[in-house]
Amino acid sequence: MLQRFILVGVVLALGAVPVVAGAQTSVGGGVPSFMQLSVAEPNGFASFPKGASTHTYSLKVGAQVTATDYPITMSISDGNDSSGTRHGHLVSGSSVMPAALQVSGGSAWLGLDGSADPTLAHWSAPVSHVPATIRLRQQVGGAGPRSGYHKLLLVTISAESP
Amino acid sequence: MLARRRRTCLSAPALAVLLALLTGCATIAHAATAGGGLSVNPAIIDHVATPGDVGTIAIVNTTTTAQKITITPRPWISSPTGVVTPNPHKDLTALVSISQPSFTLTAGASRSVTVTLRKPAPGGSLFASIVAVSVPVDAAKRPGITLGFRFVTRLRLDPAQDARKLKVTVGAPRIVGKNIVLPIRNTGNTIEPIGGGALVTGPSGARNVAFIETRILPGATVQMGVAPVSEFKRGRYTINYTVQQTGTRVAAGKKTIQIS
Repeated sequence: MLQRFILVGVVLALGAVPVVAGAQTSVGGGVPSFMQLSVAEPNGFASFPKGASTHTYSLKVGAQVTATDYPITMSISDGNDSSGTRHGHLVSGSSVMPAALQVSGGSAWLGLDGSADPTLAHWSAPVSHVPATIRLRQQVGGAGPRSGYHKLLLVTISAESP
Repeated sequence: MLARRRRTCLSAPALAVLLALLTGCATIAHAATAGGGLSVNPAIIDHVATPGDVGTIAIVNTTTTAQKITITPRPWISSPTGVVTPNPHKDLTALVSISQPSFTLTAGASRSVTVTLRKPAPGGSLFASIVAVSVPVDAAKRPGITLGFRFVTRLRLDPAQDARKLKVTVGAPRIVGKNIVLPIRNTGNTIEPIGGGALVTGPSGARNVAFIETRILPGATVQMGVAPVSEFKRGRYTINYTVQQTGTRVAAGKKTIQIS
């Protein structure tokens, strides 16, 4: 509740409202809690060059997070398949990429096919337009189609306490 | 007087975010051109748990494509440390309704939905998540990686003032991982932070510890950290604890633990 209360004095300090000298009016206002997530459009992982050797491809997506309440986490999950062999894997028609997609918020790489959604970032204070990077990695090799892949990923901003 | 009282309520981090919000329009616009995003406002609905409308959530789509939005109230699952996540297998639609649980939001548009408590909440309160999922309407046709959004916000329907119950039960201390913990179960009906402290006495002498204030869901148990076990010699220790909620002592007692 504390952070919801603001003073018009803050606005006055920003010059948004003219100050009347000698005015004694007591006024107040409120800022509702707020969450915002912006992400760049990812472009990649639809097709991969043909070849017999195994290769790992990577993709970075920029994001920005604003949240007045905390603690919060940013995580990522498979938005198409929550379980089964397609869970966490790129798919092309009935074909499933053998290796799972891997994700990282900057440190360790985690498979998207695990039972828990990989956490990308954590904030224990309010954040405003804080940048974050979503890193994706896909190992490709051997047989199987090299094009027509797709996957919906859900980027989650979540409160951590009730 | 009112202004002075509120001035003391401002926290520095909240003020920083407020200033950034007021001055950061250019950044938002830039992000929107880079792919855009979604916002939810408010991220906490805090209301007394009386049947009827309890709040409104506004969703704004600043992406360049229409989004399919789905909003679902879900119960929390609490971890032993008190961190909560929405239960993906259960919803609370029998108890909480969303005026438009599913709709399409065109690029640049916003929509407000009303959250309603259908009937009295069991126990006089309800603390849950509201999960808003947003997926581009053409997601199934897009090649490669497509990103959607998911916001997990808080629904806090507090008991009426005269129905508030501040109550906990404290279990036997034990060692979890590398720490001595005291299981504390919230048997009341609020999520007011639970804290307090303990005096640990034994072969290593006496040591005062403070509990980290934690919001515990009614009915949930949190393993409240007491101290790292490595800081104590082998032997039998007595833990004299006091548990507080909103500055009120809600439990006190003595427990023992053997460290071997």
